[in-house]
Amino acid sequence: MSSINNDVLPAQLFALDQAIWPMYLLMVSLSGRKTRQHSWNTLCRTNSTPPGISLEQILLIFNLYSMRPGNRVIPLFIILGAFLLSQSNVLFSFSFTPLLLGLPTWTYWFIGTHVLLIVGLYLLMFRFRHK
Amino acid sequence: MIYLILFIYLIITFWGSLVFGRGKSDTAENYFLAGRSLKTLTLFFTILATNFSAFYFLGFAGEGYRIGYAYYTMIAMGTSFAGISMYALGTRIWRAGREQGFVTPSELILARSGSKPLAALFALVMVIYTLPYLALQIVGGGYILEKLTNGDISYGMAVIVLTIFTIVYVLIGGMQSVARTDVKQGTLAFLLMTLAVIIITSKLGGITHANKELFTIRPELFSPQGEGGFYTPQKWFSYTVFWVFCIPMFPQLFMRFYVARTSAHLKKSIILYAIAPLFVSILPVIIGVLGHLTFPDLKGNEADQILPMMLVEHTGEWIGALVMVGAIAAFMSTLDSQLLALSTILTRDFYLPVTGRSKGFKGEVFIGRVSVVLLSLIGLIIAFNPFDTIFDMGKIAFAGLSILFPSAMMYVLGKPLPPLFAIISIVTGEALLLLFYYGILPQAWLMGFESFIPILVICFLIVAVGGWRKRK
Repeated sequence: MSSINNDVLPAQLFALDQAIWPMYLLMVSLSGRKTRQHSWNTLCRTNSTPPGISLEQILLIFNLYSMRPGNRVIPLFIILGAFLLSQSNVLFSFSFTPLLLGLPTWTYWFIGTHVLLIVGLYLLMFRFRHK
Repeated sequence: MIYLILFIYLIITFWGSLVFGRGKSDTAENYFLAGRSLKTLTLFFTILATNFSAFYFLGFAGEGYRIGYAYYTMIAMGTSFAGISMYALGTRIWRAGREQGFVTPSELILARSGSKPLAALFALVMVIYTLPYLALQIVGGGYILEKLTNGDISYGMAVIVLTIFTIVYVLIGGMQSVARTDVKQGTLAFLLMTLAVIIITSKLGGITHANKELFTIRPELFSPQGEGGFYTPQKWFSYTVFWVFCIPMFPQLFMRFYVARTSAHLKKSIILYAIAPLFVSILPVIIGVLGHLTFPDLKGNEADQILPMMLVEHTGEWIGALVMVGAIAAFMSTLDSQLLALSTILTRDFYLPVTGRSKGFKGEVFIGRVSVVLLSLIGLIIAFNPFDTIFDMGKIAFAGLSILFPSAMMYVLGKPLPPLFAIISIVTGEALLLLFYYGILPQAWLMGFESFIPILVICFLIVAVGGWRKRK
């Protein structure tokens, strides 16, 4: 335990919480209507919001991603995120030393971005499969 | 040996067109749109093979040599993002085609706008800017066959032989034959390209070793900005978003949206299409980048030849010949689709209105076949006198087509837009493009972006004003 710096720990937890919450919301949004309703009820009952995110913000996300099927906010949000990340190589300095197969390190970052785009497109199709 | 491999490939392709096309090209809808019957995998392969052309084999490797691995990321991301616009517009185009029997892009524009001049302009722009792209396929095929036979077949003879062969199987089977042939040609092209990468990198000591060795000599080829800082933020943005507007406006691709059996088949094929560039784009770029280890001093257009040069240098006669045949397959799969799309447009958007004949008349397929021959001749004439490099011929063709996107988007989405504003948007965009291409307008006005970006912004603004006025 001596290796843990107690001053840094809350910040780490905060960062972890911030990172996990969008994933949680994404998973809930992909689940069925009943699960989403249950999650929302639990959230309201316990008021267990993560640090830095207010209940109103979560309410906003849930309102954006309403219960009806066919809502496209989250898929479009993911696609927009993929596009914004695709522009990052000219804004930030990535390492370009050869990594796996000798390809530059940053190419793997973009492969991840690419996968995000595919996920967004897949969800878009999934949400509209009834049409 | 090369002649044997080439002969076998041509015979198999020809036989396939006979089998798949037989008895399925009697009506215009069957000949031009394969009876709107294509399922996911066929549709995916025909979309992919149509888009990844001679430009894929020669252009990607050449740009990999000139720019480095940054080109892979840009082209893979850019062409994948086209999946967004293909998805947004494609399913609506499919539905409109299914419900109202559209065959060409202009028929949809005419039905939605009610303007014959706009529909004619739309068709004209598609024909004019697809011709250089069509000629580019013939040029690429000619280069490859000449190199493949060590000059025994001259460039001139090569382009004539390959074009005649493509004409024959398009004439026989129409879209049914083209789509089925695309599946074989696309699979062959990508498998052989993978084989080429494996053999070339193993000859260079393995892919990891070769890349690390090159990194010590030319680290800038591994940078995200590319050799010489090619990708400034403006250029990177330009090329990433460009394909979103350009690819759905290729007439051969626009018409692919009509041919799906159901919208679900179309959606699945588009998602597969968005995944594919991640894997297929890297192959020629690797060969191009590693070309520096064997041919370190190629200048300008010489880099377009890096793929055949690497094959000749590092693979045996059999493998080299096989991969080159794969490249010829890629070129033919794009050329056949372009010929079919343009002949459809010439027949239905120009010949029928001018002669006053109705759609579906008996000789429609015959006129379509005559148009295929006519267009091939025009392509051959351009191929004998190419006006620019492969890359730049492609760029002007793509940019010219992308200018149609703002107007097409409004009509496909069913948004209000007066036809006059659509015409102004297209004419202004094309005029500005040519003014920048010929250097009449200064490049400084572009603020580092490629010319098509500010031009597209202007076109979008014009259609937005038009839409706003119509709503008022």
